[in-house]
Amino acid sequence: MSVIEVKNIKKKYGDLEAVKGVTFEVNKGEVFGLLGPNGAGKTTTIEMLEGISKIDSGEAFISGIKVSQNNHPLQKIIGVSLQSNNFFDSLTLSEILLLFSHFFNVKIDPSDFLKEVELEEKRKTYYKELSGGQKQRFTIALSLINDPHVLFLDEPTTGLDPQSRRHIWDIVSNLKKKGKTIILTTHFMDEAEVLADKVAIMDNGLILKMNTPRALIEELIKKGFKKKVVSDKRANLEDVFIDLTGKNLRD
Amino acid sequence: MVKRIFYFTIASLKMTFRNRFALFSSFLFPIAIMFAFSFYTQTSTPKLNIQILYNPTSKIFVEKLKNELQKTSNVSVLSINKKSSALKSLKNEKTDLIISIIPSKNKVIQPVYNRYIYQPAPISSLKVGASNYNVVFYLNHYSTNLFYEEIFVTNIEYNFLKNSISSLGIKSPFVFRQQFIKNSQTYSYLDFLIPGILALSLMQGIIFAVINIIVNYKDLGVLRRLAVTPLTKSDFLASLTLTRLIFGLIQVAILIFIASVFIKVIPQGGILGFLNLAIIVILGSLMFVTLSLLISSISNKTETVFPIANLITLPMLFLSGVFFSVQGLPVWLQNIVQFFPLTYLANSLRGVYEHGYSLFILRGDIIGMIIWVIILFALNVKFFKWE
Repeated sequence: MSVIEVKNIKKKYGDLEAVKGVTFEVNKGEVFGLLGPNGAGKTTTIEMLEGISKIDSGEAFISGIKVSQNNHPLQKIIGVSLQSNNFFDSLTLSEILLLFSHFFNVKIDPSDFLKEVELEEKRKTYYKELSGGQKQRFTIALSLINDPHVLFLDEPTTGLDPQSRRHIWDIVSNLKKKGKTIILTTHFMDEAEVLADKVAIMDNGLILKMNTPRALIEELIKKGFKKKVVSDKRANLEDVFIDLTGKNLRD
Repeated sequence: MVKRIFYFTIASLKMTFRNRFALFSSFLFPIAIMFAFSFYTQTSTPKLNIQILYNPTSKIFVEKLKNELQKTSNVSVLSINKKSSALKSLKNEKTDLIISIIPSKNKVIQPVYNRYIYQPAPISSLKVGASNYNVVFYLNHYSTNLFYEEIFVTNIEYNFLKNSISSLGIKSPFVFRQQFIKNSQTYSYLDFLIPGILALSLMQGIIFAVINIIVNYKDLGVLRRLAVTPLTKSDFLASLTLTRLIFGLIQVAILIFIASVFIKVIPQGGILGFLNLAIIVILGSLMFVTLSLLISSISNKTETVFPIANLITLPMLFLSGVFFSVQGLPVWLQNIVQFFPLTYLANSLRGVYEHGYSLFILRGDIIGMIIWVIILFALNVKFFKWE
C-alpha cells in the first residue's frame, strides 16, 4: 500500500528548472533512498513533499493528504530532519523537545526520545554545545516527536565519522522495524545499499532509474559492466576502520 | 494557537535571559550611563554665565533681576547694554545665555537661527508701568553647558517671572501651570536624561535583538524547520512581539528602580504614572518591533542588515532628545526630528516620568507612535519575507 504518491512534480527557481517532473511511490514501512550528485534536485524534491517549498506543477499525497505549504494535517503526520539542522542555541535538549511537543500538542517525556538516540545524559546540555553527530541524532529524535507516519531524512550522515554514521544507520533500521516510512537522501552509496529498500537515482532534476539496490546492480552487470579492481565484497575499508577503532560513539 | 504562542514566548524569554550580550546591552550599559552622568553632574556642576541685555528704560528693572538671579548658585550674571558685545561673548562661549529685556515698541520679534545663536520667539512679554517689554533668550548651541541650557532656561523663566512679580510689585500677565512650578524647583539634568535613557535602551534592545533573531533564524534554517511544525507565521510573530513587550517592561521597571533608589530620580504621577509608563513602553515596543521586522526584510545578511539598522538608529540616538534637548537643534532639523519614532517615545516617557503628565496631555506623542505602528505594520504585511 502506497503511503507516498508523487505524480510528476516540478519546481522552478527563476530560469533554473530544479525538478523537471518526478514521479514515484513509496510503500508503508519502506526506506526510499533518493540518490544523486549535488544539485540533482533531491533536496528540492523532498522540501516540496515536506511542504516547505511550493509544488509548481504536479501533485503529491502522503497518507492520502494532498501536499501543500502550511498544511497542518500534513505537518502532524510527517517528521523532518533538514539538511542543515539548527535550533535554538540557548535552550537545552529537553527544553527544545518540550517546546516542539507543545507545537504539536502532544505530551512527551523528553528522556524517552533522548534514550532512543543515546543522548539521555545530554538532556540539560544546550544544543550549541553538541558535536556534529550528536546534533544529527538529536534532530532525528526531534523529528519523531509527533510519532510521524513518514520521516524525511535529508543527508543525515554527511560530515559524520564512521562511528556516528553507523549509529545513525542503526537508528534508521530500528525506525524501519517500527513500521515508519522513510525518505532518505544521501551521497553515500553504501548507506543506500544497506538501508534502502528502493532507490531512485536523480540527476538534473529527473529520476534516471528507480528500483531496489540489488536489481539496479544486477541490471548493470547484465549490461556487461566489469569493475576494474575487484574488491572483496565480504568487507570494505570502513569495516576495517570500525573493526580497529570500535563501534562506540566518540562524542 | 494561544498555547503555541504562550510556550514559544516562555522559551524565547528564557533564551533572552540566557544571552549575556543581550543582558549587558539591555541593563548594564544603560545603568553604566546613568551612573556615569550622575557622577558627572554631582562632581562638576557647571557654572552658567548669563548676560542681561538692557536699554535705559529697562535698566533699573534689569539690575533688580540681576540681584535676584545671582542668589541662584553656580550662576554668574552680568548686565550689559551693548548687544554686539553680548553676542560676541556668546559666540566665544564666554557667555552661555543672553536674556534681552528691551521695550517692545509693538515690534514683533521673529525667531532667528544662525550657526551659533538660537533665538526663539520671545517667550515672555512683560508690562512694567506703561511700557511693554520683550524678553528674549539667546543660546549658544556649541556651549559646553549645552546639556543644561534648557534646564536653566526653564528655571530662569520661572524665577524671572516670580521675581518680577514679587520684588517689583507687577501684576502677573502669565498663567502658571502648577506642575511646572512644582518640578522646576528640583529639575536637574538627570531628570531630563533618565527617561531618555529608558527610551534609548528600549529601542536599541528591541531593534538589535529582533534583527538578530530574524537574520540568524533565516540564515541557520531555524525558520525553515519551524515552517514544518504547526507553529504558524502569525504565532511566531505574535510570540516574538510578546517576548519583546514583556522584556521591555521588565527592562524599564529595573532601570526605573535603579534610577529611583540609587540616583534618586523618581518617576512622577504615582500609580497612574507607572500605568502610563507601561502603556508608553508597550506602544514604543510595538513601534520598534515592527520597525525591526521591516529592517530585517531588507536583507538576509548580517553584514548588510546591521549597518542598515545603525544607519536608522544612530540619527535617532543623537537627535531625538535622549542626551540633550531637541530645542538645541536648528529649527529646520527640529521640524524633521519631531517625527522620529524615538522622539515620540522619549518625549512621552519624559512627560510622564518627569512631570507626571497624563496620556491626554501627551496625546501628540501617543498618536505619533500609533501612526508609526500602523504604517510599519502595513509595510511589513507587504514586505516581510519568511525566508
